[in-house]
Amino acid sequence: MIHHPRELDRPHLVREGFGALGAGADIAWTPDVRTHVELLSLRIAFTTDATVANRLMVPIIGPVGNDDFAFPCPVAQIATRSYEYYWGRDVGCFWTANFANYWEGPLPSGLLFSYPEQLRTGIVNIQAGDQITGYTIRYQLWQDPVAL
Amino acid sequence: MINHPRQLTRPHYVREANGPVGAGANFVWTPPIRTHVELVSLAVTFTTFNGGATRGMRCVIGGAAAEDFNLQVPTIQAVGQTHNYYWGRGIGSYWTTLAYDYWLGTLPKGLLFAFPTQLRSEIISLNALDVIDNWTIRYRLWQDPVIL
Repeated sequence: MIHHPRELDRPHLVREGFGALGAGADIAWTPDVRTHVELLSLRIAFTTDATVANRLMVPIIGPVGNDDFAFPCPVAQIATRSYEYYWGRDVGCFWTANFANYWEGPLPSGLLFSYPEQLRTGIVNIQAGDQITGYTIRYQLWQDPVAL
Repeated sequence: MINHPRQLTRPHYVREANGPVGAGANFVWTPPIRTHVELVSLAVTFTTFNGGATRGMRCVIGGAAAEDFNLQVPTIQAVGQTHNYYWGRGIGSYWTTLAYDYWLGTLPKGLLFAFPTQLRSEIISLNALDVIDNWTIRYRLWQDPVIL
């Protein structure tokens, strides 16, 4: 697959906020057809049920079945916790353990992806009662020219 | 060798998914003739045979017998394990030791290379029964103008 940025218009800056997913579900977001996106930020709020197991939050960019790029949080989320995860460009990895459970980590820059590739999560040890309670993405969007 | 970017086309964005590689072999990739590439991401999944010395993952950009730049992972991979290695821009280096073994590292920015320079793995203590399950690259590609 080869993208041709010279044929793309200038990028739009887009924000999309999403509410709670069904229990036990991972994120699976796909850019619109004939668009190319580069993430600027990603926020995920995730609550675990009472099952004793370490969850690992793992966002992934790639086609279905291929993890072209994964950027996991290196800190585990244990049972019955609500964590907020944030990724942005040129952000280091850090963790606020004292007051609330925020984790921040870096997004890769320059990584364009396009339909039908996905931004998704592959949460390790996700349980049936766990829930992503919301997520927000900001991204640059390039649209292919449409022949009218 | 001197590259002349002013003569190049604007970059294309390319994704290539490869693998598995034959047991005991490293991967070797060379850009097409008359192109210049800059890596945006590199992903390698590597499984070690249940025996032998601890392995060390590293990838190299350089000529067939030269290591111009070394993407060395500072941690080892023990026997009988599958690790996922990801390199991207501006993401620092970190390691998830919990449950699953992800390692993230930073790609050098602005490092264009061209045929016949290679991207390849040079896994330390590679065993004859080890397998690179898959490797995926995303890169920006500039093509030399072709005189017709």
